[in-house]
Amino acid sequence: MYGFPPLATQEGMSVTIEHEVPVDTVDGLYQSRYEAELRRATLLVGSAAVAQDVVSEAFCDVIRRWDSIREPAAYLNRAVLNGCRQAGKRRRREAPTDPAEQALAGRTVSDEFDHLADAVETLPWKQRAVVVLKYYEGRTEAEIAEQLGIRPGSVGPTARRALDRLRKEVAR
Amino acid sequence: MTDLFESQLTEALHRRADERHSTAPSLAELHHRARTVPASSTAPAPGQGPRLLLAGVFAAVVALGAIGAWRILSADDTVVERIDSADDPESEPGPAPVDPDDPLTWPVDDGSPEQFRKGPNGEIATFDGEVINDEITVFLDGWFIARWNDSDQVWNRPPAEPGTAIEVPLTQAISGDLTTVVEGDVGVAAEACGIPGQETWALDGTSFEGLHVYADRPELGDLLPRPITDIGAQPEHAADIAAAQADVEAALVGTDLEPIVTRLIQVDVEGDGIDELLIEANTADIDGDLFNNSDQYSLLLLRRIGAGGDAETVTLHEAIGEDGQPYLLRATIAAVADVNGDGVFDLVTRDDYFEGFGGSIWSLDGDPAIQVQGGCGA
Repeated sequence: MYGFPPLATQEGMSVTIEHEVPVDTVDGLYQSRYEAELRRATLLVGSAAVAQDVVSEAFCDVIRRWDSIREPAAYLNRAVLNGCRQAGKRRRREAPTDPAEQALAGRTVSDEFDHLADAVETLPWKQRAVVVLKYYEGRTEAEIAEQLGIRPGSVGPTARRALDRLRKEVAR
Repeated sequence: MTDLFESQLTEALHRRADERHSTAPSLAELHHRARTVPASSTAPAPGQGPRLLLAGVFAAVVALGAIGAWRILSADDTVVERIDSADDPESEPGPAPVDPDDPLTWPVDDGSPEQFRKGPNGEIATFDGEVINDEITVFLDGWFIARWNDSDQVWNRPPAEPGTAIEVPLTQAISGDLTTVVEGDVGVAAEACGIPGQETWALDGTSFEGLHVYADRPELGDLLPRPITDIGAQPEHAADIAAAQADVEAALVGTDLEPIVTRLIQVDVEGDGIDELLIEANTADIDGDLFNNSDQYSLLLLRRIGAGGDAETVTLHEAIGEDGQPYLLRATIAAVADVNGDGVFDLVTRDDYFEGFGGSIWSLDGDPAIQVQGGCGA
């Protein structure tokens, strides 16, 4: 099927995600969420450098508004998603400038996993966000709907459309 | 249940995240940056309600009206007339003639930005294909049609090339976010997210196609069992207009948003001899930075008058924008007709979203109204 190498474990591939880790200090938020936000943002924008900008900017916003934010982790989460969406629109019109990304962009796809991950980056924003939240973070449809501000009933169809598109892409 | 492909997708995403993610800056660096760099525009509004500069609304209305991107329809440009005039091929440029002996042949659209026409097989609202590629919007010159015929909601897309007539099987199914099935052969067909190619209509490099709202007639009866009046700004309807504005104002209470009625339709929905008002209030801009401001909202209201003269207003759709949030669904009245042939008028809306569009049919005889949706990104 699709030429993928067998996975060590086909069951239980869902990721353990620390949902809404309670934090009451900036340091606690940084320790618990920064790395996770950075990884997710990297998938959402397809660039480590851009993701770094987005997450650091969002985290700085949290620092500035710390006293007025009731749920810093949720705020950071939403700010990163907003930043990724906007950065993704800009990025589509720009060639990668980071040497590491240039190397990746020019490389031969090493295996089907790379091919699949590349295909995710070509999805429209909403589909890409749903895929990353669902299949990378293991979020539920209700959580995805809340994070993206969309109707819960639209998450499933969006995911199905994304999967259809990915299947076609990797089958080429 | 997670299948193998989904497991592989999860693995691929983890590999990619491990491969590409960069090292986090130190907390001290972030504190320094927070002190020295201005705040971003991507921050979510911290719990406040939407705020509005009234001048901004007026500017948006004037600008949109001027460029024709947002239609504020007059009494000469009504839903009824759109439907009726499409029945008369000489009244306005309509779809290309269709061979009456071949009900499966469909006309080619003429490519104008928005068309709400009754087609040869009873479709009541047709929107040209729309391609949204960042700031660019393109309208395709093709139609497609689909309908559901069972609970599986399986989508079969007829093959077609842009600008050509297509053959449409009478029995199709649609995909989309269908929350409820309305009885009768009624459908909202919209499938926009496709890969351009032989089996889609999308132009190269684009991903959006057309939307077609469709009612399989004529066995279901008259699409327009009673008259419909698009009130617009007719002075003789001042009381209705004032009532509608009051309803919109009530829906926006607690905000600084100005109530602006963009469309007002008078219709006896149930056939009980008492007219209702369908109220559309939209300030949402479908061009530019889509729905990304707190000065934008989209409302659909139904004002009912009881036998005793008491008014009750039902909110069909309500979306109020937030700064930095693109997730405002803009609903626009496309047609009012008895789509499913039950003698009660239904409402057809075009639904625009920041990355796509769709359509809805609202069955108005229930409480709440039943909504059937189809679309992509909407």
